[in-house]
Amino acid sequence: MRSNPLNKLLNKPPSVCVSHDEILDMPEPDYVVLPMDYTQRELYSWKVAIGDKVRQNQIIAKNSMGVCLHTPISGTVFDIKPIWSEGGIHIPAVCITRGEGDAVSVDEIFEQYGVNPKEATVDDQLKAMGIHPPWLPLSTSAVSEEHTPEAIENVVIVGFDEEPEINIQYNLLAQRLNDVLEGFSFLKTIMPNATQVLLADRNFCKQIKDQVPGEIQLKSISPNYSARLLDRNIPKYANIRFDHHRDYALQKTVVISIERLLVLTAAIKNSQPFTTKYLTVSNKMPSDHKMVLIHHGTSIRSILNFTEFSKYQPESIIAGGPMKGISQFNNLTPLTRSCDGLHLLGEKEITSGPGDHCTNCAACIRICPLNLQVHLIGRYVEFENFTSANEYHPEQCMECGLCSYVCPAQRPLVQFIKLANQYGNQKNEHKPQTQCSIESPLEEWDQHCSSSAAMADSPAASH
Amino acid sequence: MPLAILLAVMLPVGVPWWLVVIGCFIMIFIGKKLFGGMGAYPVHPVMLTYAMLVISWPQHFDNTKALLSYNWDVPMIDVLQISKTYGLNGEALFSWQDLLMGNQVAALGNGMVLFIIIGGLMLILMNAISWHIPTAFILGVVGMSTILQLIDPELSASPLFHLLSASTLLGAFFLATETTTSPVNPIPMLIYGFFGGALLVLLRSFSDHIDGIAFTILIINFMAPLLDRITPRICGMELGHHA
Ligand code: SF4
Ligand code: SF4
Repeated sequence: MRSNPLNKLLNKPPSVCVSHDEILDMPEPDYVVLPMDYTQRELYSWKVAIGDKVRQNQIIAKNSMGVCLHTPISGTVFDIKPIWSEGGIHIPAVCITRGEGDAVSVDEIFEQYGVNPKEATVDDQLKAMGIHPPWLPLSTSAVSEEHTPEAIENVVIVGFDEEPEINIQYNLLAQRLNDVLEGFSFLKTIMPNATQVLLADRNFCKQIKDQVPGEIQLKSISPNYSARLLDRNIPKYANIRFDHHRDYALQKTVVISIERLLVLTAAIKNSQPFTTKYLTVSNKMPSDHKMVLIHHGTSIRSILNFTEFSKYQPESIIAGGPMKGISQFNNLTPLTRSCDGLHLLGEKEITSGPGDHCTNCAACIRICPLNLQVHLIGRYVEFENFTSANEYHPEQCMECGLCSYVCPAQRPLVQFIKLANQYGNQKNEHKPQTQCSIESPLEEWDQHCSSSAAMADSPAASH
Repeated sequence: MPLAILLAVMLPVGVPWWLVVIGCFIMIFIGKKLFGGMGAYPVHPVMLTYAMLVISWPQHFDNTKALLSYNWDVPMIDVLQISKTYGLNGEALFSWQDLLMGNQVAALGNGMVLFIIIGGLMLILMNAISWHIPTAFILGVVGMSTILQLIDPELSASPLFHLLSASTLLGAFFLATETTTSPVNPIPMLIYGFFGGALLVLLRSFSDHIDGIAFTILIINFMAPLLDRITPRICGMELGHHA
């Protein structure tokens, strides 16, 4: 978050930092930890056992929809056990320590997946390469015959990052424009009936206007955070009615980022499994930002060591970006496909605690993109009146974090709203039981820490 | 908002020191703390204090009294007093430039109209308050005083006079906009401000008090929670897809 006192004074929402960075390529880590679940996706079931030797790009897990998960490195399965993921949930994960071995070939991947590569459909190819086909709904139960690429009417490619301080999409668009345009024409062959929209930063739009072919609608987005909220922009540019809670695939719309577009094209054209991810590592100094390409499952600690951010001694590490990201318990958490950035906060930049009393100043209401009565929800939750809080529809909140950002009393408004959603449908007697909901995972977390320590000492991980 | 400063600018020149002490006590302990402190008081503490002091010690709230000890080059009478008694004829004693520059008998700070306007515009530009309440308040004053003037041009003052005299603009920019006691949604803010402005002119014209600003603000403060039930539409709600 930009700690400019003038911005704070004028209650300006954070603006987005856009810069041109070179991309660092991170070498293979000593071990990777692959969680068996990604936010909103189906749970994966693993196909390996402890002690198995695995080779790079080998399929180690599959979810109920058939989407595969590949190991980014060759080595040995060291352990399978629950860990804390970057999303703050406790889920099983496969830990693989690095060893010898070549990458598996494309034919072997398809063989493992169970399809002849010559007969594979686009869906099969994507699933075998570890990508959820974007025209399929996220939950298995919603999938039906009509969810085919031909049925899609809108394709929205997002050429910017929502979060301030993260600039992956912008840099990829700037550095690999030709690949992106190739990706567009490729998407046209898969989804012939769709209109294609490219959302890009306002300044960048001017530069590329001449190079983008006419059938792609180029839309410019202004560089401040609230103008970039995807939940707001996509209905506008995809011509669908505003409903940010519904799966876009169910509304005949595909929304993918530039990075995902490149991955998707590479998966089908070059049969390249999805095992790497771009990240922006940032702190409060925009000049320090670094962009790095990691293997899935690399721990935060090794990323910070590699990018030389560990000398900064962060007080808090936020995975996902300063506005919507989640603060991490520990720097051993692995990062995977859903995380776009790491933001480091020093001691001075952290504001925590219950905040002050609400003074009814209405800053939160003015900034909220959805017109929620944020201050009232916050007050009701403060006094544990969840029934009344829910009359103001906290479930509509898109958790953009703007209200907390502008609140002069520094109240944790988004957390209040989350509490209202969590306890809203229950009766008032059911108070949040903080005690027991935290205790049991903590025990397991202790185990995770001790096992991680053991892992660091083990001969396999030490070279 | 710094309550003590607001109280100070509302007090007349030459109030005894003990009145200030009592006022501060009322403001902090009765007006604010007794109702739950910051963010919980139902009415503006400064206005509550001012109203209690005016009713309890009316003899100390005569702005012209200061003229006994100081020699000012201004018409020696409280502007509102004169308009109440003489209407348009009294108004002729003042030019609007004088009123704007603060050449009027008023309390410590509420007559400095020009600086109040600058301060209010700064608050709006800094996003500390929104434009709705001041604008609606001013419209209310102008609207109601125009109506009164149409009815009885002899005994009522002009809209410009009402705007620039005594605490009108202080009320519009600093008192009515106090965040805890004012509404937060756009439409309620407009109603609240407009009603306040109209009520102020009515109180000035027909009540026994010289300036009705304290009572105006107290009354509209009580309306605020009710008005705030008019909430804007939540985006995306019409589709009815919620958990
Ligand atoms: S986090 Fe929710 S309540 Fe707060 S501004 Fe964003 S949408 Fe509104
Ligand atoms: S919650 Fe914060 S921003 Fe919202 S009205 Fe209260 S003090 Fe203002």
